[in-house]
Amino acid sequence: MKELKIAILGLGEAGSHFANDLAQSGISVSGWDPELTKQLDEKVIFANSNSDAVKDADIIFSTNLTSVSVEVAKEVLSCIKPNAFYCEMNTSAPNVKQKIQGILQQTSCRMIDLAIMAPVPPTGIKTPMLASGKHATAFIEQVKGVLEVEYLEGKVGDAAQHKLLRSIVYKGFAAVISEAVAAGQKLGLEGHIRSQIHSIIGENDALIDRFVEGSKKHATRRMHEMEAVVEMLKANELKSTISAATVEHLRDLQSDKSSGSQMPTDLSELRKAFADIPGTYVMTPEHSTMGYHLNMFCMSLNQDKNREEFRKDERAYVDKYDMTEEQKQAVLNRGWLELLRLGGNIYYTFKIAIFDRKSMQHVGGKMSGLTESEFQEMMLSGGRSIIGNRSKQDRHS
Amino acid sequence: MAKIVGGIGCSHVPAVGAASDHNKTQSGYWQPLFDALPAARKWIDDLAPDVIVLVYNDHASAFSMQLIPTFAIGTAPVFKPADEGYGPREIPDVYGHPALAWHIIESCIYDEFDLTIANEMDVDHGCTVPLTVFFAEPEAWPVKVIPLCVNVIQYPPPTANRCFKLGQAIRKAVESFPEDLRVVVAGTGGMSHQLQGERAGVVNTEFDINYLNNLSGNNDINRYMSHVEYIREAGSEGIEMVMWQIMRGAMEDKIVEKFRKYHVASSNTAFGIICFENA
Repeated sequence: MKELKIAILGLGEAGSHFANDLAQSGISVSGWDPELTKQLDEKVIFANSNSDAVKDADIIFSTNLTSVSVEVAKEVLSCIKPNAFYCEMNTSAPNVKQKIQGILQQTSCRMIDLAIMAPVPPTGIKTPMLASGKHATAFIEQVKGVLEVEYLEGKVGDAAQHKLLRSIVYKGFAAVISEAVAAGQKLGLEGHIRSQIHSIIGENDALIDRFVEGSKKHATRRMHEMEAVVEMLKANELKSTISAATVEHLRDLQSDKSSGSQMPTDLSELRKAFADIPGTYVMTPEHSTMGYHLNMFCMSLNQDKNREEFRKDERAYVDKYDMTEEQKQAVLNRGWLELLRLGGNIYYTFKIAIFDRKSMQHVGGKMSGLTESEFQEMMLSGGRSIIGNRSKQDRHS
Repeated sequence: MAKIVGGIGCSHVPAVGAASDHNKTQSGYWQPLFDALPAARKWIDDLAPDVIVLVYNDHASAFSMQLIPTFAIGTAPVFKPADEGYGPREIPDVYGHPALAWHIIESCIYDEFDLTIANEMDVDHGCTVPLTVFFAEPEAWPVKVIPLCVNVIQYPPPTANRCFKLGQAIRKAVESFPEDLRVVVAGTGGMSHQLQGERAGVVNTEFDINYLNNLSGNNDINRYMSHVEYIREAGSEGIEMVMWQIMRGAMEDKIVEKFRKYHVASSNTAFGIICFENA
């Protein structure tokens, strides 16, 4: 296994975990993703394209989105090494996997329908998988000790079918529980509904919470999975009423998740949320009331004649504005942070920097304790990381 | 009848305009960004728009705190580049399309979208930098431009969803204009950046890429995102991306991506441009 080369097409949540785990265990891994956002182990070779990634690979993992999987197979077709294993690992409906098999038939590569049977992050490359297709036993032999793959006798599409059939129960059940618990909460009957659920699954509130939270947290991914279920059921001329309702349930959760605080019913909560963002001065009504004259002074520097007057005698010019002495001092001292604290807004206060012929990097550095060149350097290497900078309460988030 | 033939999301970083104005597009710093643009410019050229509705925010140039319209649309026949403190950019004047602008005003207000009417307005880098990105350095801009200025500085700015709905209203307006005009809607600003405070310099590539990806298939995530989440994740000035939602609302449900470039960093900002046609 160690001497094998593995290519991973699509380095999202699953693909990047697999790539990093395999590379750390000493296996040669190349991968590609058009929009890489995940951190890769330094041993993972980031190729120039999908075709570039597969060219020497003995095993190919296709961990793309279902929506692009067919295109990707077409793209790499001419570059696959003879007899390589091509593992289609998306949550696609069986007919999509078979379509890809049809495309790959022009080559001598061996297509495996490889279904991922549990969430990837906790166990990475050891996540349980199910393989079908006529080359599945040879594949399992090849990856023994590295992947945890169970054999399913049958053709390409059968592993997908097993997975999706199971999803009807798990995801559907999670939807029923979520809807019931939400109703119980709203009607003041949560204890009652939980005891009803206990009578089915045992007295396990933690499991109920996992169903509810899991649906919310993974709403988008599960929605796509259930869409594949509906596609599979329709292809077999079966009814899909419950699965289609589960898709709609997950779609609602997905937009709830993103619209959580869209309409603040309590504006003081909104102020708290703004105030919790570190190193950021949001121009709330209070802020702009405090800073009105300061900002209007800054605005005046858009006019050449005012710039001249300010240049001649800064003190005399600031005295023409109804600013506090503190604000005037902050202007005269170029106290960039102080100006924000006293009600300034960066688009206005930056007029003073323009007057001084100073750059936004100079001002950014002054506000965050860096020199201009350190600030420029930080921007060139990708900017200030969001990690640790989202919330004052949790600097690690 | 007029129709919307394309949508563009595009950053309006002032330094990008300055790089073009001062012949620095082939410097080591700027080349990777400017070398990607000819493909976008060709797409726009092939699309041959007559008018661009250009959504941007004024940065204390035409408007100050004295008067803060949430949405202001320019009806003038010509708009001058604003003096933002450096003297105005030396670029062509921006020619408007008063008849279409007034038609959008009438249509939107009867549709219960109460726009502010700006008969005179200088346009700052928010409006003119995208024109440089789209058209390089021509003698005259090859399209008419209707500037649509959005407040994203004073809180509260409009929600992303409100912006999306304004886009829908603009589509209705354009499609009922009797002249055969090809119209592009451009939402500008962003992507992740923060100019102010101790957190100055924040860039969130993962957020930006997701935002770009979600525009075509999963835009509800962008559309229903709260202000708090926009500024927490994309930086205080990343809030500008709500303006991209006006473009998205003006396009049909199903759209096809034609071009994209994402580049960090241009000055203090993650630069992004993405081009769409209706499917």
